[in-house]
Amino acid sequence: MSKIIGIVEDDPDQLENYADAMRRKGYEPVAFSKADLALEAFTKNPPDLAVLDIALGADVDGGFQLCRSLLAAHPDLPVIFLTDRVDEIDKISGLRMGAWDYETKPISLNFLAEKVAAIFRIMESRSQPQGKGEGPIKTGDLTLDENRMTVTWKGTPVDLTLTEFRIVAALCRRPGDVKSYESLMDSAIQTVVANNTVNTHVRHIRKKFVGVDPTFDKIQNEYALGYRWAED
Amino acid sequence: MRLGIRARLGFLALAFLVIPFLGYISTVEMKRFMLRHQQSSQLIAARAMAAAMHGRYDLFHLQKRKKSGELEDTALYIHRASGPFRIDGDSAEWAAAVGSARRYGRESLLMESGSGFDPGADGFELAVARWETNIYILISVQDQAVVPLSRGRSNPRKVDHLTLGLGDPEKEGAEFIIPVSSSNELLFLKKTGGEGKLVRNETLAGRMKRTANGYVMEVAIPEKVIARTMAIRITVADVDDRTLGRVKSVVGPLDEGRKGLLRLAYQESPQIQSMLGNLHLSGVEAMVYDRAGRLRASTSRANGGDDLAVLRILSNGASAHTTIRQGLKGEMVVAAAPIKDDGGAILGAVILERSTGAAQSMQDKAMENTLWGAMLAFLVVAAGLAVYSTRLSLRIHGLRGEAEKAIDQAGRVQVETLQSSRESGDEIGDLSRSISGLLKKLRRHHDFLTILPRTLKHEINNPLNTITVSLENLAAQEPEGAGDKYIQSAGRGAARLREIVDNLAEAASVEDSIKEERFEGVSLPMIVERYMENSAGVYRDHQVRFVNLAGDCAIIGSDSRIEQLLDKLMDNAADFAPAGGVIETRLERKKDRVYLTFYNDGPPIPEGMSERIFDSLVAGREGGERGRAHLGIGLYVARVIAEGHGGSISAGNSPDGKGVEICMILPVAPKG
Repeated sequence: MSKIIGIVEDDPDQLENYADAMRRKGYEPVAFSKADLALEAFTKNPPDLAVLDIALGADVDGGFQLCRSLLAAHPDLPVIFLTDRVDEIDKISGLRMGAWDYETKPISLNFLAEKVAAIFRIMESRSQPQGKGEGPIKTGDLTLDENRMTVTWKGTPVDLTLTEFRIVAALCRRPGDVKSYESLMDSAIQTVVANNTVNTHVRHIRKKFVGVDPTFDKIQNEYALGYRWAED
Repeated sequence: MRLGIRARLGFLALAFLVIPFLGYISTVEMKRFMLRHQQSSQLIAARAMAAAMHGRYDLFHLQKRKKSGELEDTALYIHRASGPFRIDGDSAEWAAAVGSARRYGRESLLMESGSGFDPGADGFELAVARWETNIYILISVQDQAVVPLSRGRSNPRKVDHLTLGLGDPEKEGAEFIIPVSSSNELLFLKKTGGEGKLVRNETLAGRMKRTANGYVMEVAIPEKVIARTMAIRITVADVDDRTLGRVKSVVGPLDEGRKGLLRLAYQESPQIQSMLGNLHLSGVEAMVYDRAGRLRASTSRANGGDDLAVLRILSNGASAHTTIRQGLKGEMVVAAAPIKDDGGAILGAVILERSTGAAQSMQDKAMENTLWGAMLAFLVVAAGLAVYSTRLSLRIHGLRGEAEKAIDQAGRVQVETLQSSRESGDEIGDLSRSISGLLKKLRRHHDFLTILPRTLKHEINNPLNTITVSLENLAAQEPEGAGDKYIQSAGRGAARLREIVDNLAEAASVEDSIKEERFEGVSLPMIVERYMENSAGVYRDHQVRFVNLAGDCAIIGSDSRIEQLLDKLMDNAADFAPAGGVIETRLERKKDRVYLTFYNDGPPIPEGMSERIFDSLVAGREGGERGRAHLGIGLYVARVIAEGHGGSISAGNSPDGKGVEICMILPVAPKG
């Protein structure tokens, strides 16, 4: 049985495009252009994953409202925000609400599909008993389980988004080696635009690690090239 | 020369100096008016006084001859001497009194024996003067053959002699015979008893002197002796016959009774004096002259008044008139009026003199007041103007300063409402408000420009996304299809659009977040050095160099923002430097500033663009080498980051003119 992807997007063209792409990838899209209809339908029959736009019609924060209501009813539902809003505050509010990722338009449908697939993989891994598949990566004080998308630093879990997680994973796979901006973007399933996009993600990652350990300084900037995970 | 408001108003205030000038003109006019008034009132007073003395012969000791109607003196005036007299028979000190001397000749002949009187050669002149307590008499006798008292001629009645009677001899007057002596001494022989016995008397003193045509006698008589009667009787007996001593003629003043009694009168007339005194004209000196030009009364201590005015009346018969003349005590108004009798004969003249001091002092006072007033007005006005203009200047200055600060160097509106003169209702207030209005409009415009990229991104993103995803779907539907080429080119176009939109977004996001970013001490040389090292591998088409002249120095900032900034500068340099060209970064330190200079040998920046290339959506130079979109966002982002670090950024062509330099100045972090 194919996974149901709930898509809420007020632009009918985009909505249809997403739906088509998802369908092509073997998912079953359920598309809505209005928040109330979507909420009603999703509450009754929750999808396996929801892709939400934030601004829905006249309601500029319709996606946030919808996300909050959906997660209240189904706390385990993975949500990806897909929006044209790039402001930090929106990103932070969306992620705090419990969304897995926050993607800004324009997005590549392939990337979107990859992200969706990655999320399903992780969810699947999490539902499997421990020990199956590759073991977690351990580097110094860092423990990173790619399958379950869990990161701990000195034993304390660090809550990262999908994109952030993948950046950390790419870095710590080969400590000491420089990961270029481009490769970091690839790993995070992001379109490369400006190095600063990665910088912004790294800034968030550092902030989260520092929140756990104020002395954290493992992610080092190799200016003009990229980042590396410092060796112990 | 630039004149400020204060200087101009101060210059205008000088116009007030015309006040004293106008004041002067008006006081001169006023003085003239007052003088005219003074003249006319003085003339009226003089006429009134003259009228009071009209026909008063008695005041002037005059009488009208019955036959001829001519006026004649009834008294001999006692001249008021101006100095002491020496009894020496010399007439030198009499010079002043000679004017009032009187000659007695044939008409005064009392007795003549035969035709002995020679009217041309005989006769005498008489003058009387007073000094202190004595009355002096000067008798100049013309006598061709003087017969003095001598040893052979001891009878005083048989030589040339004078008879001097004091008072009325028929009552209780004394009579002296004064013979001409051969020396200068005079002998006074008083008649005593009935039979004409002569006794030498010492009451009187006198001297005589022989002259070419006669002799002169000078006699001093105590005033009290004369004061009782104010009359003397004087006769001159001429004896030419030396042997017989016969009296040839006797000459003496004739009075009504032909007794040879001579009335004396003081030249200063107490009556006229009291008339003058009764006038009580303050500041006016009044003088009365008789027809002979003798001063009869004066309220002045000085002798005499305006001779010219007196002369005009007495000699020329002028009518009442006034003049202004310059006297010893300054300017005087002189009013003169003739004193006449009914027949129109002139008895004398009244002269009133008054200093123009009142008018002058009025003028001076008025002038002084005007000057003070003008000065005060000038000072008040000047001070007022100074205060006003200073306030005005300060207000304009303040407004200018505020208006200048209202827009920062990047052209952003910092203050929308100017506080200077905001509430005042005058033109400066209007100016302030209109500048505020302009600033508001500018702010709105600037806000529009600021949100334009975001709005653009926001509005473009959705359709762009539609295109992107549609293309992807299209490509997936028709793999290797006929339209694949077009799908790919449309995809490239969409990617280009996306780049533009992302650039716009980046600028907006830097602007928003740089202020909230947490900065820490970072080593700028380390970052730049590593950045340039790494860039050498990235920008293989250019010669990338780094020169560090700053040593190690820390700045307060964010390394990723510095990196972002370096990305922009490097991108910009790489875009414009020709392939194989030089991109050199130089780090220098001057005091507490660190200078980061990016040099590239690309084409120069056009004139006037060096300021603007850091503005949003301004692309500095034509065409990049790498075929990328040039929105002019990169340098704008660089500027926002530099300013976010408390620094500044500027661009210019390199001194050798072969390339372009972009220089960023950042403050060095304080030590510790």
